[in-house]
Amino acid sequence: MFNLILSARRAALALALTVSSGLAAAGAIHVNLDTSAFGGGNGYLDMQLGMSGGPVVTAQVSNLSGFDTSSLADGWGYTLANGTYTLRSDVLNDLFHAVPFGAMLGFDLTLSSDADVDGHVTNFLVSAFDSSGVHPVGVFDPFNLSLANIAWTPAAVQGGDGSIAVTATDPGVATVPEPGVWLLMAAGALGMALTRRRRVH
Amino acid sequence: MKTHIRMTVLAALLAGIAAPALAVSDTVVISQVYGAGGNGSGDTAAKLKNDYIELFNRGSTSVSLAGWSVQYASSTGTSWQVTPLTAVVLEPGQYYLVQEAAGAGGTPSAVTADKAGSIAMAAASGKVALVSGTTALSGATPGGPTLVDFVGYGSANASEGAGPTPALGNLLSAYRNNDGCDDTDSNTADFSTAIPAPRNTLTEKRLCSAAPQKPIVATCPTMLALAQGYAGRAALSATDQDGIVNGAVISTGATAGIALADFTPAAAEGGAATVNLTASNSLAVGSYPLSVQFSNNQGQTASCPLTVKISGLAAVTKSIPEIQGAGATSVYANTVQTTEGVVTLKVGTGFFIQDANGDGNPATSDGIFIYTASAPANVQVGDLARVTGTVTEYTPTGASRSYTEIKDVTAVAPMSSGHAVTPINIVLGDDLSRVEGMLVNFVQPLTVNQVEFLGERGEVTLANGRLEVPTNRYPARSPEAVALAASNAAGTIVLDDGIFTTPATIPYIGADNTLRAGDTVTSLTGVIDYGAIGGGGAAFKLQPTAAPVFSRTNPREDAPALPAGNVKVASANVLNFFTTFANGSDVEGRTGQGCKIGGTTSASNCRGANNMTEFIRQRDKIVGELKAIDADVVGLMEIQNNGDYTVNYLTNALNAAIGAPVYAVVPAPASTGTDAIRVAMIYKPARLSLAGASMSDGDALNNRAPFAQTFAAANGEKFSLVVNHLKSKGSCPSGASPDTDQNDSQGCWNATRIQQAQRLINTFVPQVVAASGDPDVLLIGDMNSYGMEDPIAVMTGAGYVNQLERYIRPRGMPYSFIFNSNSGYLDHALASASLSPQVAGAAEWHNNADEPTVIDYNLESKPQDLYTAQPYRASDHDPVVISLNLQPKYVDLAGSVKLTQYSTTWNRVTGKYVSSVSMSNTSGAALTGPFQLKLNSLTAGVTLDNASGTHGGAPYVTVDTTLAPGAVLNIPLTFSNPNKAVISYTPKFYQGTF
Repeated sequence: MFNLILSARRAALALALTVSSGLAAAGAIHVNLDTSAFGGGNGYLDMQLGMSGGPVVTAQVSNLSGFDTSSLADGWGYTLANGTYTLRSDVLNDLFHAVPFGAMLGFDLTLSSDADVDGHVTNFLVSAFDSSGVHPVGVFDPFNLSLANIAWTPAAVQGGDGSIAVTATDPGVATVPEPGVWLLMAAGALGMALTRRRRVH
Repeated sequence: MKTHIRMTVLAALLAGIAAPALAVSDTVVISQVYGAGGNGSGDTAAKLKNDYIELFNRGSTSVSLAGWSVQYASSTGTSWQVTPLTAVVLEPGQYYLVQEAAGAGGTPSAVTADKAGSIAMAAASGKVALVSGTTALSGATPGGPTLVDFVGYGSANASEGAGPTPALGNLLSAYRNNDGCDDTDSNTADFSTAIPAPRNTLTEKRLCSAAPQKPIVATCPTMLALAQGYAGRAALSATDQDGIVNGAVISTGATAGIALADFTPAAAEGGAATVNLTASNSLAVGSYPLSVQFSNNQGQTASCPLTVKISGLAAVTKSIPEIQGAGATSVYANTVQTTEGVVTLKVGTGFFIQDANGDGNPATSDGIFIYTASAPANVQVGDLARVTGTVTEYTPTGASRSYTEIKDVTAVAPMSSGHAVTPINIVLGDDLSRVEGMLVNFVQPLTVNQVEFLGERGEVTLANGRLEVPTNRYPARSPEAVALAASNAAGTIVLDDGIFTTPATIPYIGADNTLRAGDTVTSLTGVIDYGAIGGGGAAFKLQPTAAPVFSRTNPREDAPALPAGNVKVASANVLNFFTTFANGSDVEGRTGQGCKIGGTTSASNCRGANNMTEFIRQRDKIVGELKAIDADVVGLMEIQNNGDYTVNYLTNALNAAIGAPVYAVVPAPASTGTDAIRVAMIYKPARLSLAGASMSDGDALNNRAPFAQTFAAANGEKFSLVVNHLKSKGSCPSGASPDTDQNDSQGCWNATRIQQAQRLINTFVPQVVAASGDPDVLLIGDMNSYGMEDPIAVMTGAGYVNQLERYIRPRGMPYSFIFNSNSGYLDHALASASLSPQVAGAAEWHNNADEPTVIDYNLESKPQDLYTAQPYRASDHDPVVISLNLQPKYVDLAGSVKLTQYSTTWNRVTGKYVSSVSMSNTSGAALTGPFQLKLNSLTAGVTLDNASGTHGGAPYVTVDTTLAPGAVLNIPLTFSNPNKAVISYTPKFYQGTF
């Protein structure tokens, strides 16, 4: 259903993230978007956290780089504090931020929620529009216009770990787990290896 | 089935009848009374000249009749005439004959009177008394110490017990039953009427203390016809059930050249003694009447008269092939001819001869039947016989062709013996008229097609395979139906047994005392006959010369087999199951009961068992059948229409046989029709529950009202069962009408059946569906219409699906009934379009139609009683069983799939809100659509743009696909959200349709 158009390295990263079993109830990734293919000039980066019937999911967007800080962000349903935008799944939200196209854009994204047993998946969508604000640019999913669809699946049990899966439609999207996440993953992999060795005996 | 009504004259009971007081001996009784001696003229005239009164000593000691008298008074008379008796001592078992006045006609009895009186007795009604004195009695109802016995006959105003004997006549005397032994002091009970035959003191004694001795029964031809100069002989035999026949002599007419030879006494009681009457070649032309007397070890004798007739040997005038000719009839019909041939077979009414060499022309038969009325005496198989008689074309009643034979035979001369004829090989389908009367051999195995007349007539219909009723397979009047009717008619032969009466021993019946339609037979060698057959009409028949060999190729099934579902439905015609019997009694022992047709109640309306004995036999077979079927609901046809009484009785009997109260009766609906029979339903409350009240269509079009009930299965799913019994094909209307037989294989009353089917489909079933709120309807019952007939076409044309064509036809011919040796199904299962996909299977249990009628519950018309309580021939129809797998229209797949609900986001371009739900098949098996994704509790003001519809107020999306194990189905959703509300919903995923 979703087209994954990634370089080999990015595919490996995305795969690692998708199958990760050791993420905390909050997951964090760094998202880069190469806008060089979007032509020059200004436009907008649109971010929204979907509405879902499950536990309230919170998305925090911080450490924005390459964004046009001179223009105010547009949209609704978000809060801004200390350079961090917060979006909630129980509030109709949209963060519509002016950006210059041609350079690398980046931000950190942290998703968190309580556990959920009913199979709700909450999507954080990243889309881009030209300066008119109505024409999507980049390689996007025609259904929801996303260049990157970052899906948050809450932990299945209270105290467990949620997971993040990224579906990148645009080839300019690259996502990198935050360092803490890498460490957690390495520890998990080591633990799994030990477990398997013990089972040999 | 049979309704034998015993007509009782009640008039006498209504009259005021007085009973005389009796005294003295109760051992000497009046044993016979006859009052019409010499009366009348013509065919109805009395044969005997004198009236008489016969006495009998039924006791065990001798009684002197000295000083006694018999006396007579008219039916209402008060004055008595006296005939004194002789001073004889009547020994136990001895009769005494008192002759009275003579009439103008008749001849004196050969039985000499012991005393001749002169009283002129009335022919029909009167009073007779035996008195131990000679003084005349007095009064209409005499009594006193001298009255020994009293008999009122006809309409007499006095009698012993409940009433007088039946009225007498010129050819009827009153007999005291059991040879005179019965005496319950009731003239009406103790006497019967029969042809007058007086007995006297010389008549063989009959000791009432001993069981009566059975007589010798001799079997002799009446004529031994021979040609002068040719010796011949006749076979005679005699049997005695309780004695040993051990002697035979020519008692009268003995003459030189005629003798008895080869006498073989019976080996045991009941055995046959045989002897040949031989006539030498020296006898002169003429008739030699004589009598052969057999005797036994009990001192009994029996004689048979016969005549040896010697004629001059006639010359052959025509050969058999010449007489037969190549045409349909003989050109020598109605001429006297003498012909000659080898005897190939002797049958009950004559014998077959065949020209051993033939004329080499296959168009002319080489054989011919010689009709002699009884079995011929003086020829044996293998004899070369010269026969003189009249060539005739015999057309049996209802036949479409004639059969050439020789009758009015004046001479049969055996010329020599030890000849043989080689049978010619034929196959069914050959022109049998070319081989009529000839010895043939069927080279192919044939299939039994009908055994209805096996017991009554010794007949089995044979054909190549099983013949199908034309309209069971093709629509009436279609060219295919017409062609099949023609080929069926040409493709049968009736295997007979050489006897033209009910056989003493049922022939051809095999293992388990049955011969089933569908069994096959080989080694069929015999002579081609043509004549009347059971059920009417005529057919070519094979009279076998060797024992045919049958194979049980259509074995019995213990119970019907069909795929499992969650509801098993059966349709069973129980062949007139009545708890009120044809004899007027009922299952509770009450008498004077009857059965109701419309407003008339009469025992003659009772169509089932004649009496309690038959009923128990019938009940046990029907109960066995229903128990073996083990259906959850059974539609019954032909059950007595007396409210729920009879169906309750049957249900109780069935539960008793099961050993638990498994079945209950569906309460009778408003109308059960006006016929003596109704349709009914029984069901298992543990498996089904009644949903709503029972319904019926009491319209005058249906004298057996269709009966509907909606049931709910354990899973809550409902269906309605409609039980039908359409108008029968028989009892044709008088005069021309649309209901007359149109000769289209559909029988009579087809127009009425079409109307009944139309009313069922267009009026009654819609009422049932409206009441139940569920379109699942199953029509069952005896439609009295074969598979493709017009009334069934009415139903299938309205969308009903014929489940027997669907499930049985692919495996073989569906049939539940055999008529005229053709098989077809009158018993149906038609499902509505919505129910049909939920029908898991259908079957017929061939426990009845294929079985011989002679093993059924009836007691009458049976040479042997081979009844068992097993459920074979429990009815004339086979039951139909249908397996339903009632399923909800849709099921929640929560346990079979894992749902993932994606969040809803805003599409800035379209202004719509988009979301999706994906389903992963976790059931381990493929799931087949259509599927429904339903969004419950969707936020108010939000519209699902890609909804396929709404169900229960919630929008849903339909996807028709198949989901392999582990596969994921993702369904995108697009919403309009003008209020910009936060969208939420609860997805539910179903299999099926709303």
